Amino acid sequence: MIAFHKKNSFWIRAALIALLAVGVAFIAFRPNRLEQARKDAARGATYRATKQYIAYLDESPEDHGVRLELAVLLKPRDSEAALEQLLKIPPSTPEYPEAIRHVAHIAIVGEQDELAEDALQKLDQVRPNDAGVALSLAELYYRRARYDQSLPWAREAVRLQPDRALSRLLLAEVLDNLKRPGDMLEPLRKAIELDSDLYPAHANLAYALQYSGNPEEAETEARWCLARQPEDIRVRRWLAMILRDRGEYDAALNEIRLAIAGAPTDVDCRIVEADLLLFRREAEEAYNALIPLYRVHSNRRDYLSSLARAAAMSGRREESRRYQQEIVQIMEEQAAEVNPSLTVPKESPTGMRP
Amino acid sequence: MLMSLAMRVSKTDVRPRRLGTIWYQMIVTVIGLIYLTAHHPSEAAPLGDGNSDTFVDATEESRIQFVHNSPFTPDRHTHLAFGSGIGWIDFDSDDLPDLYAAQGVPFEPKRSSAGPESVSDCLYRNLGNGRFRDISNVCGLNDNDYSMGLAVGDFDNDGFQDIHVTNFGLNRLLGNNGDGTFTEIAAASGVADAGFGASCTWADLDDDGSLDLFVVNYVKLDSDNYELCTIEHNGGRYGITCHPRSLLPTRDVLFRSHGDGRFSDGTERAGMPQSPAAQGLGVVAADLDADGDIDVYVANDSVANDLWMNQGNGQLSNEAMSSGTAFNRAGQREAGMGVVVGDVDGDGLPDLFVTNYYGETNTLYRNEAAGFFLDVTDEFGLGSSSRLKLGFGTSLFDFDNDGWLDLFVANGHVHDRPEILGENETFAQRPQLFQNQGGRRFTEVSDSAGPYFQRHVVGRSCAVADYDRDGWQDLAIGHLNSSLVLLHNEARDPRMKSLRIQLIGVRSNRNAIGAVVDVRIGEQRLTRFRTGSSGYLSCDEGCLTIGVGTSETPADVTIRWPGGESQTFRSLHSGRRHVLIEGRQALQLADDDRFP
Repeated sequence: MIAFHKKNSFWIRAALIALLAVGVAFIAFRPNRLEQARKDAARGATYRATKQYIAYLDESPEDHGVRLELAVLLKPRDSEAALEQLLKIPPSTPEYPEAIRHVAHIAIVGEQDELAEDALQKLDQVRPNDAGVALSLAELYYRRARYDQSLPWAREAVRLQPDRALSRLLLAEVLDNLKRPGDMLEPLRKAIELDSDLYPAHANLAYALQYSGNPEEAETEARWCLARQPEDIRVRRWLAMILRDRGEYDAALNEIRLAIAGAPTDVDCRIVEADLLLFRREAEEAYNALIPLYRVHSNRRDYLSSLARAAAMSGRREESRRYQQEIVQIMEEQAAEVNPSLTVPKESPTGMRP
Repeated sequence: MLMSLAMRVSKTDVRPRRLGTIWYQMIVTVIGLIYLTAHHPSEAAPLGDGNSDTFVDATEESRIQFVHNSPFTPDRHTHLAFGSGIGWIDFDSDDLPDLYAAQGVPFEPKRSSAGPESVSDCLYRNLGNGRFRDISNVCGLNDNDYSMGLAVGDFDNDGFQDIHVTNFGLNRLLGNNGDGTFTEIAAASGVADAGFGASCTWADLDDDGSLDLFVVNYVKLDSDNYELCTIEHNGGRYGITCHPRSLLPTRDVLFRSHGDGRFSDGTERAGMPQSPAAQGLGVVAADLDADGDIDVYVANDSVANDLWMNQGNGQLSNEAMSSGTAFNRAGQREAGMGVVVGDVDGDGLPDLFVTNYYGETNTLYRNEAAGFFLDVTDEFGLGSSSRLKLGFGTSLFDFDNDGWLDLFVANGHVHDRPEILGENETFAQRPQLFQNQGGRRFTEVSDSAGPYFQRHVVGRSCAVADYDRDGWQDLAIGHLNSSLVLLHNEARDPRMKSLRIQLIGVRSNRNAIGAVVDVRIGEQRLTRFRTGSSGYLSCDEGCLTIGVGTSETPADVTIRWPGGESQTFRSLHSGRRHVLIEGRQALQLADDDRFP
């Protein structure tokens, strides 16, 4: 009996020790939460990985490297959740610049402009001289029609990456929207130097040259474009205007009619055509070309002006007067929309400023 | 004006939409995102003989040493940006045009009466040898206010030309005493209008044989009640010349002559209050609808222009809208500065040319008859050449004597601080000369016109005269806060001829202001208009120098005198001065009055 007990006791102890060893080995060698999260993420098991990451971060909230990993994992699927993680990463950490870059990216994609602006401005502070940041800020302000704010960033983007043609194209766009088309020439020329096949640069250069009084070169650019995209109505219209400015009225009329053949209701083309006809004192034809567009374009001053002139010169003076009155009415309605720079702040309106 | 500010064009302006915008949006947005995620950090014929400059700076040789005095204040008081006028006047009736230069004055908010340190308008007597003498002190000018526009005309029909000067302050009428002196008689004559005057002109609007006076006023500003404007730029705050629409406009004034040297305010009686007051700067008076009476066109700054059509009964009706001259072709109000009238296409009708702000074109309105005008700026080659300029003074004159009116434009910005302007939007700008190509269009010939045209200057006023009586028209140009320049015309193609015509009215006003001169040489027909002012704040000489090209055939000249009476003078030879007196034969002048 005693021997039996001694024998059993040995085996029980051995079994317990073995179990303990297995348990220790299991504990010692099983993957931890973070590794599991990473393995899950690598396998594409995003949901499981996210749970693991979050569990891990509950235990280690100061591990901002892992928080950034989680945010990157979440970003394509749940940008709001990613943002939540990213915004928890404090500026004092090495992960902060990368985190704020992702914030900017998410905000831009989600068209959260204010958040994007804030993130990009912060990014510029922590990583100055980053061409991507400058470009993104320039683009952000451009999209929001804040051209005066876009301009310095567009210039900065060009400075930081002088060989990038598209940045110069953006700079030209911004300048144009600031009513400075004369300043577009240099960036557009440089863009073409960098990328001689950049179609928009050639097209815009044709426009800018025509605007600023160089019709000869403008014609070259416009013809370059039309050789590649003959169906481009806008460029063909510019070509007609360029030819008009050079005194080649018949050629101008031919070009604008080619454009109209491709876009019979294009009011910009019709106005150019009407102006050429009026110049030749073919007022009836001009009137007939314009009047069918009245219903759709009666809110456009340039259209109404052209129509008013055609009406007056074709003997419809009262009708012309009516169109002129409509122009005035539109002008009054649009008075509040004038360029903000016109609303000059005043000080001491009745006297000298101190 | 001026306006304006750098960005004077409203968002509603219609421009061609450019293709790049859409392309760019697509391309740059994508690229920008990639950056973020990828961890990337002139057809013109040669001028002159082709070897020499058309215009040579003769200022030093002429001994005219006029320096305009209009320094900017730190606050950029608005009136200091507009410059002052110049005018040719034969004040001593010696057939040599003398030069009157209106003067500015530094701004002091509470300026006391003029002291000896003040500067005055200046009158330079033409000595006939290419030189001038400053006689301001002896002829009683002493105008120490800030002078703006001027108009020359014999308002009292005494045979001596008088001068009306608008001021930033009380306007002045300088009556010519006939002895080389002037007397200031604005108050006594009833034309002492106060305010911020701009251009002015003489015209007999009621056809009574006496010149009436049309005064264009700009905005409500005076020394004691001065509105200032500022602009923020790059974190800084700057004083800036006010945009005209941010200031209250003041009404233009028509002074009717009683025929005895006195005037009364005829503005209301003429029906002018039917239109709202506007920020006016330029004015020209001529028979714009060819109905025999004189009409008035006013270039307004950033608001619709005015065209006061004379109804023939003393009433003026603003027909700018229905005539097509209120706006440009795109239905945009422009910032009109100067305006000049002339037949640019040879159809006998007066066309209008208006200078405008930077970013706008200057505008040429072609007279289509029946009171309608067509904006043909682009078709005449004047559009894109003027968009990047801010035009002020302008003259239509035939510098090459080919029989077609050419065009001069004085350019210069109102804003002197480059930090608030674009890269190409400079304060000082190049002046421009355009050559008329047979009435079909203009071609810019500035590059070959002489050294002055290569300079960047702040141009304001300009006025034309053949000051040395060589048969070629010369040009005086006033600059803001800078020296006046006298350009001598040295085109001098010996094949090209001109004839000089001096008109003397008898039933109509003595200076025949408002007369239409129709010159016929064979099949060629040239029409010129005698006006009481020109361009911006200025006045060309009253004697007309008319280029007739290479024709040796004597000209038949028909004068339509103010009031509508026509008279033809036959067989007038080029190379001579002809005095044409209303109702009389042409005055034969001695052989020594010939010019080349």
